[in-house]
Amino acid sequence: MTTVERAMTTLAPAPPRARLARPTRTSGWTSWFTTIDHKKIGILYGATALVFFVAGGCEALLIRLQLWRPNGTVLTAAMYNQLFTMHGTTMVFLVGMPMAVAFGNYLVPLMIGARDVAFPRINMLGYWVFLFGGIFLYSSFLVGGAPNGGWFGYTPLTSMPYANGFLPSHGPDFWAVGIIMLGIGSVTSGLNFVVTILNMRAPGMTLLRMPVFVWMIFIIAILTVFALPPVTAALIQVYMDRNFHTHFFDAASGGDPLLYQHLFWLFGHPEVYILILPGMGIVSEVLPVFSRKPLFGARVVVFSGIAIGFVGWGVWAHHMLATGIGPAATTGFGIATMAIAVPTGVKIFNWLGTVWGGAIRLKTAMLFALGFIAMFTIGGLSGVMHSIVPSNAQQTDTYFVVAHFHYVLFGGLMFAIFGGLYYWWPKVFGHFLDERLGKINFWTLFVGFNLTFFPMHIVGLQGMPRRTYTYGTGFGWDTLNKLETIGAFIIALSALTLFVNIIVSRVRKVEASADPWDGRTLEWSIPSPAPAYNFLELPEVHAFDDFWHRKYTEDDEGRLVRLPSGGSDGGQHEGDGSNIHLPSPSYWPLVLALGLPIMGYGFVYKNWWTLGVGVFVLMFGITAWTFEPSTAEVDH
Amino acid sequence: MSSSRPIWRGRPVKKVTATVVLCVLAAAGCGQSSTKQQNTLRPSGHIARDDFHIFNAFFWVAVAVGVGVTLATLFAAIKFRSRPGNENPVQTHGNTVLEISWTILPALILMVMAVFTVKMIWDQAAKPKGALEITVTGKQWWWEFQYTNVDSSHQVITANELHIPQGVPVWFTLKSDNVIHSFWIPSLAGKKDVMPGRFNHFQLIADKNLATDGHPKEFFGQCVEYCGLSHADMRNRTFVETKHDFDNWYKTQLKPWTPAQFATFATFNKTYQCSSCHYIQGLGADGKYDAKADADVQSGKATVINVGPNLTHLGDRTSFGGASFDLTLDNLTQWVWDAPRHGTGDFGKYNECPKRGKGGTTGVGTPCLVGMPSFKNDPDHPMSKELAGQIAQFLLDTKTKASG
Repeated sequence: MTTVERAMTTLAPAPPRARLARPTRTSGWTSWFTTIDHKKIGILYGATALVFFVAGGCEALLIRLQLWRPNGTVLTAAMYNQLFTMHGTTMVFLVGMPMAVAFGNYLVPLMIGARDVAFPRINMLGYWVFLFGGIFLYSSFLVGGAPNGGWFGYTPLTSMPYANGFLPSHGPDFWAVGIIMLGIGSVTSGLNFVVTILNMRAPGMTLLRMPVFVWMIFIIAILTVFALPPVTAALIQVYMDRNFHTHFFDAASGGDPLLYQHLFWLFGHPEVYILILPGMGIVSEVLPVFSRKPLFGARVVVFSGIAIGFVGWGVWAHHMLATGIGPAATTGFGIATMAIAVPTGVKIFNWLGTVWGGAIRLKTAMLFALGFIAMFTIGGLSGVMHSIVPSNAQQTDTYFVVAHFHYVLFGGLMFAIFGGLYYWWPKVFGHFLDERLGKINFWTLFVGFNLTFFPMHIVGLQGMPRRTYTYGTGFGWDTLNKLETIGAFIIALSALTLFVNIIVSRVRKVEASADPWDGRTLEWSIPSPAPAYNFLELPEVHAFDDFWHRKYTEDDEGRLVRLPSGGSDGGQHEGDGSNIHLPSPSYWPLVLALGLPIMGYGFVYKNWWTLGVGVFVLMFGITAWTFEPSTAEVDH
Repeated sequence: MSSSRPIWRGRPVKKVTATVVLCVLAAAGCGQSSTKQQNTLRPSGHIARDDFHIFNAFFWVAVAVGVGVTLATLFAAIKFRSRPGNENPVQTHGNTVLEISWTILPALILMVMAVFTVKMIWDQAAKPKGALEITVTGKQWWWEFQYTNVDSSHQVITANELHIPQGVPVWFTLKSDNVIHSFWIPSLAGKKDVMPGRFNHFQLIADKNLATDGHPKEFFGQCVEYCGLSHADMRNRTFVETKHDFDNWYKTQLKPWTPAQFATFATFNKTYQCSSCHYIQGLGADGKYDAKADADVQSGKATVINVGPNLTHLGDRTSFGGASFDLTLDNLTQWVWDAPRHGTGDFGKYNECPKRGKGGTTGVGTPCLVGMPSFKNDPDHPMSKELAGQIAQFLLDTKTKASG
């Protein structure tokens, strides 16, 4: 019996009809505003992140147009600085993290055999906070200037008071307040994942029988919960310095700009792993399915993920090797950074071991997963180069670094996400994404990606700094920058292919069975698309890749043998689930979240009336949330 | 659903090959000649060469691993394609020996790397003996250089263009009174951040035999920590010279203007108050040369106004505006006249100051902290282009370069 069910049964008899009755609609467009179904919330996260992906992509294209030739005149310096700041902020906070939450939200309960997450309403709150936080950040473009201090927002550039500041606009205020807001959403979803994974696994689903993807979400959820507080503290200090003349980061008054960097990267480096580990999780699911082999050394992959999660806390200052923290500190952080390459390398070799000797089907999802291995390896290797401190002194803050982290986060994370979309689309929507368009999608992305980012290694080593809106002639960077811009537009074309594919596939509707790929994990044991209640009967788990073992066994030579009775439906299709109580929808996460951006504008403009309205909406949401009945009233 | 149709078989290989070739071409395509040396791959100094060598050593390890993994992925994707008859492969769950070895092997490689890395970190952190000492101050958006130990009672203060003797270690002290910058001359040494409230140091040694008398070797660099609007325009040039040329240059940079120059400057300064931001060596309160004030600054007893660069010897430089623009009469005229908006679009880089109100007060909102104002649009005394040209010519005429 799940927590949810237990909660349901102890509620009888139903309370008298309250003023704060819960909404009852679970279909139709209005239901999307009140839903607390983890699957719908997952879809909302994914769709919203894709919209922000387009926004961040457009910013990147403008940046590339400006750098098409030396002394470019497409953008002014002021515009360029806003665009690179918002590109980074968008891709990290509004695309990378929400995408992980999207996949996690949809899949974690299905993969661990649960009917929902532990805190369904908080789950929805996280989404609304993310959406409003994103809109809040982007609204700054319309009201006099977007953030322009970089996604890392180094002080004192960002922290000097508005009136005599180095960045005379409200941009950095929007940035500080916006990131704090998004952090609230991330922490709530992180806590939700931790509690869900620890408490709501199906009978027999021990921790080591959990799919690797669930493990990676578990790790990043823990990282998120612990990583956000330091940066939140730092951003509050930035806000206070700017608006209330505190001196946390003002060296002239005894503050220390370096303090900010420690706080930021204490968040920022775990953040890198928060971004990439879900990608590793997705790949660890896709590769075994399309190789028809179990994940090679699955436990090692899990434990190296844990190791990355731990060691990831001890490497933050490798972002600061040029700041003059001294030879002792650079030695320590350099070596810690080398150390983290070991568990990362182990994963790569284990993925290779997985496909080796398999029966590989090169579906689009598999192509992206294989592309991930190669691209991520390149990104990992250039990362190791940064740990060589003297070499780092030449590379840091150049395009070499830009190349490095795009190989990790685009060639890694985004390849995995694209692959994940093709892989789980049939489960989510009940129809396939078109494979032919999918392959065009992959190959254009592969070519465009490498054309854009590989040359950046070279211009970086040739001395081209990042975050520069222009460059002069005669440095030998012209041709490579042209290639990069061409590549960026090929990437745009590829992204367009994905959107065309989504529309075309929706029209054609090639219906998918419950288990179209011959999958290994529990989500494939239920119908496609997944029904609202997920599982008619909660599954009992006996092994890692439990669903696979219901279908297959091995002969004496270790060859795969299909079990005669094994079926993809696994006996899950009996009944219509109408007797299953699911948590009811709620208005209040939306109302509560709506208070935050209103408060945000109040903080940015120091308009205390606006702030008051925001606080009122927030408190109203919290109060109503507290007093609403815990289920919709139904006739008993 | 199109199940792995034969049309795709083999095709990915060609595409991947094409991509690889493309990448290699891209790599090779950078054989594009550069006339300005700002390149870590062409080190001309001891530190930069060490950085390059240790990079290079691991680079080939990385190439081996990268190519190995990519080829293995490709090979597996082709060789182990699902074919009739092999749909049910042997189920390997792991291999302890393999897994241990691919954990240990990278760890060993990294340990070797770590040894060399740590040694180099400590070598580079030490202050070299007999070094020329220069204090670098990061400004928005230009560099100030003060030579503190060539002759401590006669210290040169200059901007954006660094002159150093070849083969001599140089020890930099980096400081900032505004935001974080990062000082970098890629061909000579790795970068170091310029932090407000801290004094960072780094060393470089330009190779011997880079220059001959009268023919310095020029290197380029720029700020590499995002420092606000014109970060991209905060550049620097370094002239590595023979000892003889360096000494000559040093002497010229200590000479004050002639009385006639002071007199001319006074006419410009009266209206446009150049010296409220720019340092003019020995400029007294009466607009004439003040020997004591000059001596105090040269010996480091007094500090200078340095919102903008020292203009005394601007004519000796090859560039201005954060070393972003070549020093020509046209460029400089435009700069003096209307710095925020250059007619050709080459400028338009520096902060456009908010429009100044009557009487020189700043208008609403933000005061003008950084950057040259537009004198063309000065509300009290709009500058004519002719006057701007005269001022520019005057500044060019400050050239004092003594013949070899």
